[in-house]
This record gives sequence, C-alpha cells and structure tokens, in this order.
Amino acid sequence: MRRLILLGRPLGRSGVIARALLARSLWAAVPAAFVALAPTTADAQTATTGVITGTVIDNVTKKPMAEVVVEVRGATGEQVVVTDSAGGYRIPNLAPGSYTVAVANEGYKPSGTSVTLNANATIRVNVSLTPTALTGAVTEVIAKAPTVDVGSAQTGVVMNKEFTSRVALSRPTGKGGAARSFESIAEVAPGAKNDDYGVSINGTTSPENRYIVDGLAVNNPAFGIVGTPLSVDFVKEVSVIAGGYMPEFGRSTGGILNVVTESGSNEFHGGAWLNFTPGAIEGERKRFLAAGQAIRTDRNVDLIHDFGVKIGGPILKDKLFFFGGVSFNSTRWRVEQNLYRQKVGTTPLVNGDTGVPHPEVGNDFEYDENGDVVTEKIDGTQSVRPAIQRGIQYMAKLTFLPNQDNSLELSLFGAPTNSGGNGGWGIDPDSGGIEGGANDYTAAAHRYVSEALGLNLKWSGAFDNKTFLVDANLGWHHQKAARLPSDGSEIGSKDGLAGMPSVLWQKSIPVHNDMKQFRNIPGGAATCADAIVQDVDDDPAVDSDGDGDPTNDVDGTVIRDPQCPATQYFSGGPDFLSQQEMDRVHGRLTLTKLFQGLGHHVVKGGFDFEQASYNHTKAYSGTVRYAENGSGSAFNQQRRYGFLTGPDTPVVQDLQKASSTATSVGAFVQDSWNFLDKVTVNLGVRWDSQFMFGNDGKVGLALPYQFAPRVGIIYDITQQGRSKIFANFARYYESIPLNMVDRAFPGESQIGARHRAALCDPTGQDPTRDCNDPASLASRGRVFGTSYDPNQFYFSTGSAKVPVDPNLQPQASDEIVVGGEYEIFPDGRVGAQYTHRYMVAVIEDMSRDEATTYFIGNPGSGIAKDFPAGQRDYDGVNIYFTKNFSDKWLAQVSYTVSFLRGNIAGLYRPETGQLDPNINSDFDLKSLTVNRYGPLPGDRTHEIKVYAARDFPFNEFFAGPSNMGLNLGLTYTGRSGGPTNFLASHPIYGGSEVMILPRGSGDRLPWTHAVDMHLQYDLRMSKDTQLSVYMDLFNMFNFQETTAIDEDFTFSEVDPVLDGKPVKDTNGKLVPDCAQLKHPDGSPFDCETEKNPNFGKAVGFQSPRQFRFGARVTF
Amino acid sequence: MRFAKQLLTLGLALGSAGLVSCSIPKPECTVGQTTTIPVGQSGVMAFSVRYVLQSGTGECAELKGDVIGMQSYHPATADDPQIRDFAKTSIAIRTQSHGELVWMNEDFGIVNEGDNPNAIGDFTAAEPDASDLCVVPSAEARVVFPGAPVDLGIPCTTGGTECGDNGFPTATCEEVDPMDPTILSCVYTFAAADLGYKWSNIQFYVTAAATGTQFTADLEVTLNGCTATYKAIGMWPAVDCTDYNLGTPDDRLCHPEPDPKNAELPRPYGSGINPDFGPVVCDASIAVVPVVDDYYSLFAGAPLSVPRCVLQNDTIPQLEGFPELVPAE
Repeated sequence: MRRLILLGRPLGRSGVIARALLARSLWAAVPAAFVALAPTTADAQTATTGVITGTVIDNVTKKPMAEVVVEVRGATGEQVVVTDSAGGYRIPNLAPGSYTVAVANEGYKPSGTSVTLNANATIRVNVSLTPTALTGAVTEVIAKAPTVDVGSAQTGVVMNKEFTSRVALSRPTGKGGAARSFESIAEVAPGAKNDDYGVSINGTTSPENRYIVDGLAVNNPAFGIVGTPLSVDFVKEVSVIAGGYMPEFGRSTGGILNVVTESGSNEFHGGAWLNFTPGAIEGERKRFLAAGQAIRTDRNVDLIHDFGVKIGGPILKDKLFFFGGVSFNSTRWRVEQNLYRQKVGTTPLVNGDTGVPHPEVGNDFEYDENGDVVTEKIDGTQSVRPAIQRGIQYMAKLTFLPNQDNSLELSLFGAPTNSGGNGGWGIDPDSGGIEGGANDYTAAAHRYVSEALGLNLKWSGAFDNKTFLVDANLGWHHQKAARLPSDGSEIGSKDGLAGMPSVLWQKSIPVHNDMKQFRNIPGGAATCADAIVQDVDDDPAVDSDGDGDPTNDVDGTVIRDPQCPATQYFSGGPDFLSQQEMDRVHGRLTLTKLFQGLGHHVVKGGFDFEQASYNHTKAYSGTVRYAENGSGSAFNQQRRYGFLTGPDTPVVQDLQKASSTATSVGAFVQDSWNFLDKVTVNLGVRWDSQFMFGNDGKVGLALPYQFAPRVGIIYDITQQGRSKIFANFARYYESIPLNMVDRAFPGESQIGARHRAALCDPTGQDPTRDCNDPASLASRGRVFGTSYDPNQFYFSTGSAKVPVDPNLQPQASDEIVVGGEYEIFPDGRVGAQYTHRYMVAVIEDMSRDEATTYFIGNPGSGIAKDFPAGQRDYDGVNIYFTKNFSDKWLAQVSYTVSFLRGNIAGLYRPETGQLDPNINSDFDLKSLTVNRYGPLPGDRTHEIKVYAARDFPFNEFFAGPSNMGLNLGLTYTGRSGGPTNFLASHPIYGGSEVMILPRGSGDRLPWTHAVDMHLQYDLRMSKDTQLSVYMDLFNMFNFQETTAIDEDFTFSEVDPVLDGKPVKDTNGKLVPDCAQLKHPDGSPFDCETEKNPNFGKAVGFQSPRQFRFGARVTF
Repeated sequence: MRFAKQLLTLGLALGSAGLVSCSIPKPECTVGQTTTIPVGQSGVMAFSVRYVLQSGTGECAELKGDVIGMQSYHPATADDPQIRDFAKTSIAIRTQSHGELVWMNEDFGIVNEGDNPNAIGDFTAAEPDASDLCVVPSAEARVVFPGAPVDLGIPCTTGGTECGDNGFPTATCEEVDPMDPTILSCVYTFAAADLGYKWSNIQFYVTAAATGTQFTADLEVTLNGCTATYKAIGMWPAVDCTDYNLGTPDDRLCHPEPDPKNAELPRPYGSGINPDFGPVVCDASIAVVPVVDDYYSLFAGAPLSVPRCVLQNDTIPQLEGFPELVPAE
C-alpha cells in the first residue's frame, strides 16, 4: 500500500538525525564470585527462570554419592534436595540471581560454592566431598568449571547488571536513550545493529523481533515494534536470542529479546540515580544543506536527563517480597530555523530559448565549484523552538513463595511519554525522530502522547520431587498512542487546527513558489527578490516576427526562480492525525517432564494464546489535504477520507474508525535428549495459528497451519564441557501485526477531486475562491481524456475490501546455524558460527491495476505467481573471543562478515521509513518490482566489535583505601558501509519509488568507526551501600562519517534500466549512464536539467561525541 | 467493551475448537474499477468489450464493441451517514460512446435534461455465488446527440466542388455569417446519435485473483430508432494493441510479460492483463459509434478508436492463460 506521507514526521533519510554508532558490550560479564559451571541440556529452564543441577561424588573413590543433602540458598530463601541414586540433584524454577550451593554429609567436610544463574540457563555444579578422616596429601581440586553452554545451539548474548555497569551503553539521543530502554542496549549482540525503529538482528527488521518482559509479550500489537521500552534500571537481565532457539519461543522471524525484571528478596535493596547529558559539550554536529530549500533547520541537544529510585525487600521473610521503582526522563532539543537566500552573482540571465544574455533583466545566481547555488543566511529570520519529550517509567512487583515448590509473581510496569505542543516541536516515540523542516509550524508540529503498561501474573510449580514442572503466565499489555494537533484541538473536530485543511505547495513550472508567501521576510522583496519570468526581444533592431515592428518581438523568455524559493512546503493544518488504542491478553502454560531412557530426556510441552485488538481513529485535519500541481493551475484533494455512493456523489468522513482484532493460538512439544551423556539432540515442533478479524467482525485472514520444526545437535569433543560443535535447523513464523487489518479490511477508502486554482483558495482566506463550491471543480475526465469514467469529477481509492489469496501461506523464514566453541583458558572462549537465513514465504499486498485495487498474497506463488518471489537471504560468519568477567577484567572481540541480499527488507521499508508490516509498497505494483533484488539497506559486509573493561581498586595499585576504585571500559565498533541506490519517481507512487539500476548498484558508503569509554569511580560506604560516579563518553574522537546520502537521482519519472550497469562520472563516482535513461513516454532524460542537484550528497552523519554523567547510590 | 466481547468469543471458540474451521473469506462482489491514470503498455482502466450480434438490422446492428468504464459503490448505512453499508453494492456502467457524446453536446453547447450516460444497477448479493459469479440484473442509459453543423472554414460557391476537392465530399456550401449572406463556407454536419442501452443479466467473474475483471451481459442497443440485441463479453483492462511502427494490430501487445529487447516489437512493460486470462486476441473492430470517430477525425486528425485486446470466446470465465513467452536477450 502507498505510504502515508506524514509531514513533520521525519521518515527515512530525509529528516532523521543519523542513527548513532552505538558501542555495546558483547558478552555478559559475570561477577568475581562466579565459579562457573558447565551448563548442560537446555532443560527445565523457562524464559524467566533457570535450573541448578549437578552430581555429588566422593573425592577419593570418585564414586557418586546418593542421599546427600544439597542446600541451595538465594535471595528469596533456600531449597533443599537430596541426591538420587546416581548422585544427581536438580533444582528448577529458580529466579536469576546469585546462589550458594552447600553440600554436607556425615563423615565428610562440608563444601560450598557460589553460582550466578541467568534466566533460561542450566548450570551444573558438580561437588566433590572429601572425607574428614583424611588429612594430608589430598589436594582439593577446585576446578573452575567450564563456561561453554554444551546444551544448546542458541546464539546471542545475555546481559546482566555486572556487565551493563562496566561499558558505555545506550546513547542518550537514540530511540529509548533517555530512559535507557532494554532495547537500546541490544545492539551488543553479534549481528545486531540499530535500525529506524529499534534493533535489527541478523539482517531482519526490528518489528520482527519478539519482546518479552517477565513472560508477557510487549510488542506493539499494531506495528510489531517494542511497545513498552522498559528502562534497564528495573531490569535484572536482558537476553538477546538471535537464533537457534527451541519451539518454546515462536511468533517471530527476528530475534527474541527476553527481559526479566528485578524482584524483592529477603534483604532491603534499592538505589537512586541521576543521569544527565549536557548538549553544550556535544561534539560539533556536521551539517548538510539540501540544495534548493530556503529554510535550514539545525537540531542540537539541549539537555537529556533522568532520575529515579527503586527499592525491594521482604514483607514476610522467605515468603512474600516486594519491589517497586519509578523514574522520570526528559529529552530536550533546540531546533533552530534560519532562512537562506540564493546569492545573486555577476553573470547575466539568458533567454532560455536562444541563450542570448539579457543583463537588463538581471543576473543569474552564483554557483560554487560543485555546481550548487551559493546561499547566504538572512539576518533576523532566526526562530527557535524546543522539542521536548517527557516520560515516566514505573514498576511494581509482588513475589509470593507459599512453599519451596511454588512461586507466584504479580508485576505491573509502564512507560508513558508525552511530547510536543505549547509552541514546541514533537518527538515521534516510535522512531525518535524530531519534527521541524521547511513547513509552517501549524502544519508540521504535533503532540505525541503514548501510554504503555503491562500487568502480569506468573506461577511456577514443581511436583513429583521436581521432576514435573508447571509454568504458567497470564498478562495484559495495553498501549495508547496519539498524534494530535499542537494546539490541543480534538481529532475530527471542526475547531482549532484539527478543523484546518493542510496544503502542500509544490509548484515548479516555470518557477517555484516564493517563501515570502509563507514567511515574513524582513525587507520583503528587497531581501528576497521576486521570481523573474519575462519575455524578451533579443535584438530590438531586428524584426524577427515579420510584422514590421522590430521592437515588439518576443524571442523567448528569461526565467529565474525566486531568490528564496519554497520548493515543497506544507502550510495550514497538521494533516494526518491519529488515535490508537491497542491491547493484548497473553496466556501461556508450559509443562516439563524429566525422565531417563538412553540418557536424560527433558520433555516440554506447552500451549499459549494471544488476543490482540487495535482501535484506530484517524483523520486529516479539516478532512482534506490539498496539493498544488506542478504548474500551480490546480489543487488536488490528495488525501481525504470518504467514499462515493454513486457517480460523483461523495460522502466526506470527518473521521475514519476501524476496530481490528487477532486471535493467535499456539502449542509446542520438544525433547532435549542428552544421549548417553555424549551428544545432545534437541528436537521439537511448534504449531501456531493466527486469525485476524476486520472492522465488520468477520474473518479477514486465517492462517491456521503454521508448523515449525526445530532440530539441533550438539557434540562436545572434549567431553568435559570445554567445547562444542553444533548444528541447528529452525523454521520461524511471523505474527502479523494488526496494522494490516486496520488498513485492508474493509479498506481505507479515500476520495479526491481537482479544483481550479483560479476558483479555489485552499487556505480559505479568499472568500471569492471557495473550494467547497462545486463550480471550482475541474473535470478530471476532460483533463485525462477519460470520457468512459462514471465519475468525471471525483475518484476513489480503497473502496473495496482487499481480497486475500485463498491459499495464502504464512510468512516464514528458515535458519541453519553451524558452529563451534572452545574454551582456551578458564573463562575464555573462542568460537565461530555460520548463520544462513532465507525467506520461505512473504505476505505482501500487491496490485495488478496500478494501485487502484490491491490483494493480499504471496509474491511469486498462488494468485501472485507472476510477481517476483519475496527474497531475503542472509549469510553471516561470526568469529569471536570472549572472556567472562573474572580477575577484574573482561574482554570481547568479534568479527562478523555477512551478506544480506533480497528484494524486501522486512516489515518496514528503510528507503522511505514506511512502517506498514506486510502491506508496505515493496511489491505493490509489478512496475515497482523491477531492479529490486540486490544488497538490502541493512547489508554491512564487515563488522568488528571490541570490548574491554578493567577494575582498578585503589589498594591494588597504590596504597589507597580499600573501599574505593575505578573501572574503565573501552569499546571500539567498526562497520563497513551500506549499499546505495539510484532512485527516480514513479508515475503513480511518486518520488523515490523507482530503482533506475539494480538495487545496491551505487558506491558503498564509507566505513564508520567509533570509540566509546566508560569511566567510573566507586566508593563503598558500608557493607551494602555503594556510591558510584561515572561518565559515559560516546564517539570519543567525534568521527562524523557519512551514514546516508541522498539517493534520489532525479524527481522526474524515469523507466528502470533492467539489469543496467553504472558508469563512473568525472569524480570517479558510480552513476547511471544518462544516455540510457528515458521517461515513461519515451522521451530522453536530460541529465543537465533533471538530475537532482543534491544527489549523492550526505544527508546523515554519525552522532557526534556525547557525554553522559551520572551518579548512583545502591544499598 | 468490544474487546471484552472478543475475549469471551475467544474462550468459547477455544472450547469448541471452532477456530480451526475459520477460512479466508471470499472477496466481495465488485467490478474492475475505472481510474484516470493509464498504465502498462497502453492500459486503460476500463473494459474492452466485444459485441456479438444476436438480432436486428440497420446501423444499430453494426456495432462491434466499445471501451466501457465501471465503478462500484456502497450506500451509507441508515444509522450513520458517514459509514458504508457493505451489504449493498451498486455499479455504474459508462460506455466511451456515451461519454464522448456527452462531451460533444457540451462542446456544441447542447443541453439535454434527460441525458443519462451512467447505467446504474445493483448486485443481487454481496458475495459471489457458488460459480464465483456476481450478477446485476439490469441497468439502463441514454444520451441524445441531435447532430450539429461545423463551419470548416473553406470558402466555396454554390454548386461548386471546393468542398469535395478539400476532402469533404459530404459537406455542403452554406451561408455561415448571419450578418453577411455573401460569405459561403463548406459546412460539415455531424450525424445525430440517439443512443440507448438496456443491459440485462450482467454477470461478473469474481475471485481473489480476478476481482470482477471479466463479464458477460445481454445488451439491447437502440440507435436513432432502430434496435438490435447483442451478447457482450468484456475484459479489464482495455489495452491498445496497435504496433505504432506499422500501424497494425498485434496480439503480442496483449501479452502480460515484458519483452524489452525484442528487436521487432520492444515492450518494456507487460500489457497489464491478468496472466491467468486467455485466450486473448487483438481486435481492430472495437470502436465507438461512428459519429464520435468522425468528430475525432475532423478535430484531432485521427479517429478515437484503436484496436483493443479482448477475450476471444463468448462465455466466462476464460482462464486458459497466455502462450509462454521467452523474452529476447
């Protein structure tokens, strides 16, 4: 479907501040007390809990010991089990955290170790007991257990507090940066990088991920992106699972971001913190000025800060615990606009037809060595407005342990935000983009209000001596989002800005509009000269038209643009307005059974359901957007909600409301089989189904048969838990977000008509030109020669419910992962893995009638077999070395080489920023699918991430006090640049939609590098209380490499050159061969006049050097 | 709250396992819509329709087809005038002949109160029947062009041959200035066209792959008093299949596959016709009523009508597909 061009909503490259190059630490750093142990089969852990298991043996005889008491003590109490006949013990359903494992038996010395347990992990603690009778020469071997996870083929990282506190993370100006959301730190994982709407994993797009907090899915039900960006301050652990995971996780073709929030314990713990990022000491931001626009907008950080408190503790010791916290965050930018005028030079203007100069008319503008017009700032035109976003984050939790076999947890969390209004610009919470631009404030500024909250109840139970486990979850995720006028008027109202139509001014023939029409320019025409369109007589002495009078000849016209041109300008009302309310009820039940048979089996089965709803009210301010045509002779109703009841009989809708729901049901069964304790085989299958219902309550889409097999095998060469080689195959299915239903069933009907500019003033200021008067309408039939159109004045789109291919296949992708890992010294591992992902089927909307009507199908199969198939192929090899935190230091080095090729990026279009999952404009028209296969926007051939952190306690380096220390973390990130394209305009879909040469034919963008630092001073004030003062420094050397260029080769309509090849221009840059290009009507393309003067120029840079200062007290 | 109701439905559905039987619904009854933006080879967003004569003689029995535009509409609901009522669907049918006659009336300043170029009818159901057909029982339209004279600007003498010598043998030499009876000029008179259509049993083939883009109908045409009946077979879109280098019709221009490097007949885009359709051929006889082509010949230098791709057979659906095309290298 065509994208809604939201003015004032910076989409894609053209307005968004370039995404920062973020430094992330790659691996979970584990605290010093960690005696790491060999994890084993991926068994019995759940998304939010882990398992401690192990064997007790006699240190002398080396035989297993049965009936030995094992005590596991943690923050919420202790559990006691007894070893079985094989000497083994197993304690599941443990919350992540630190535990002590103590083993005692009569006649033996007691033994104990500490363990740190992550969610979704199994840790093996094998204990050797030494008989007390023995003295002397028996050395107690406290072997450091290996860190290789030999039970799973899962790829990704786990990040907990000890790690996130040592490295600079979450750049303050990124999306979710002010509150440091859990998504903003996910870029650490290999193969992960930020995209426009969140984090992209292994070449997928952010709406494809699944975001889970305490077992509750917190995706935005309508768009798939993260719905509740909960701050890491309230999070105990974030695990980013990139691939190779078991059927327990489904409904995602991206990665899984699994979050466990903090809980209370037997002791009171908490903290208070304050962070701020002063814009004044930011590195100088590199600027770009789009040629041909008279308004330049500069956005600079003013101040970003947040502060908060949290506390948790017991209500009833060992039984009932609480945790609560709240934080406030604020982001403030300074948006300054200045007017620029084109500088008049010394070269006289010429007759456009003959080239004869006419200095009496005036001089041309001055051009620089690149052929761009020289511009000069106009004093007294500065206007400054702030862009402010404020948010609150809160969390409250109750944990109840009625006995050692059961736990119940009730949690509530939320993250509302607010921005815009009060004369300021808004910040879009979905993308982090900041408004501004060459438009009227009333048209481009909006208020954004968002709410997100989750309420979740979780139960974990163990039966049958902990061999049968139950894990259940029931939660509610609620969201609201609104894009409203800046003056507080209500959507659909006739009052205020909500009742004022927006107007898009885009005249270009013979000259552009004059900025004086929209802005008050001091000095008027003396400062900004009017446009020149003047007929001239080349030689008054010659009678060229043969009428006897040589002085009245017209030999041609001299044309010069206004000195302050407005090439594309929005005035009037705030255009597209929307109010959204989204809900999800999510329930899950998982059963686990352990048994033996040719090795250990952990069999799991589960069932889950989701009921999602999306209520959307939308409107165009004043019910309509008027758009000027190229010559300025007409205004089209370019956007207007409404429908026709008969020929030329319109009904205009003040509002369009749609209510969409989706029901998803899934089940899975899996066996993790540790075959003869040598090889682990993971086998499972997941079934999912999704049914979507449109506004009429009827089924719009039914996808009941989504079977996803998952098979993996893991083999430890050393048989001591020090290595593994693994292979895994998985199929993943997408859970379709509700935006598609909202726009397709029953469809977003719009109408339009064309007004003669002489009879219609869209601003409403001229009472003699009333656009509501039918006499102002122009006959479109006459204009386009369509006498057979029953509607001669109106047109309508989206009038029919979008049909669906009855054999529609669900969108799915397959993944093959192969790899190995080896522990070269305690806590240090090297590894390599190869990931191959490809699409099995893609769901998209397509049109056979050039955008009049659409249908939903699978491109390349079914009723759309004549469309090219949807492809996205990812191949990546990742080589890494990781040293877990121990002996006061950690390190992580990773290098990834990858190739991402295809014709669809995923659930959003990076070229334009369009976020319409499964119905964006990628496959809409066959004429749009030409040249689309190639390196996708997210393709980065090389990626290097290096992290290192070291603690420096003062008493180690000089005779300093023992309660103080520094820690220093350094990060280097380097990435090769992305591909670039050559874009042109499409006759129906407009600009940036035609690829003149195959995707990715342009020069690659350059490498980007960033070095970040985290420096922290710790003061331990008492046994439990610590004060930390720290600084995060992002992009230490202020590298501001280009991250995006203007890819619009031209704004004219040009036919794509099938499989064409670029040539080198005089600067050595790749460009299309102009001689090969032509317009759809066959006429040749003129490089001189039609090429976009801004083409190839940088429109995005790395974020500059930024500081974040903070202080934290924890107790 | 609606959401709560949906939750309850979910609970019941889960219990009764009725969900698994939900399937993708049929599309709603609709027609190939008309828009004003042309596309593809020379695709016109309208139907190219072939008329097969069933009975009648005279000028009304000489029609071969037409380009016909259609639109579908929903009325507003009774409760809320801003919400569509999907239970009811009507269509409007406007032939190019009628549309052009209306413009000719406007050009000549002729006003007919009774002119109606849009034939309106209702679908009998909201969804296709078991044979994937949607039916509109009847629709009617009528436009009257009374004929009109045009001053060709060729000076002549009564009884002379100037008009014939200049290419207008049927023009007559007339007085053209009421103030000066001595000024004589060749005057060409466009014939009258009192054209009426009575459509009945209009059947559209509607599936997710082809939403109302093939139809058949019974058509009774009255032209200047005489009446003829036809069977109409229509396909959407109406593609101009003229090879403009040779000026002849060419079936290859109906093919949906592009063949941009073909030396003889390069086609950068496909025709835009649904590749499931067939057999499709290029028919040079499809034309508007003669007086319209006459009008265009005089004022635009060439008749309006061009050869169009049409369905070759007389019943629908026609889904043989196209012959395989191997694009030239």
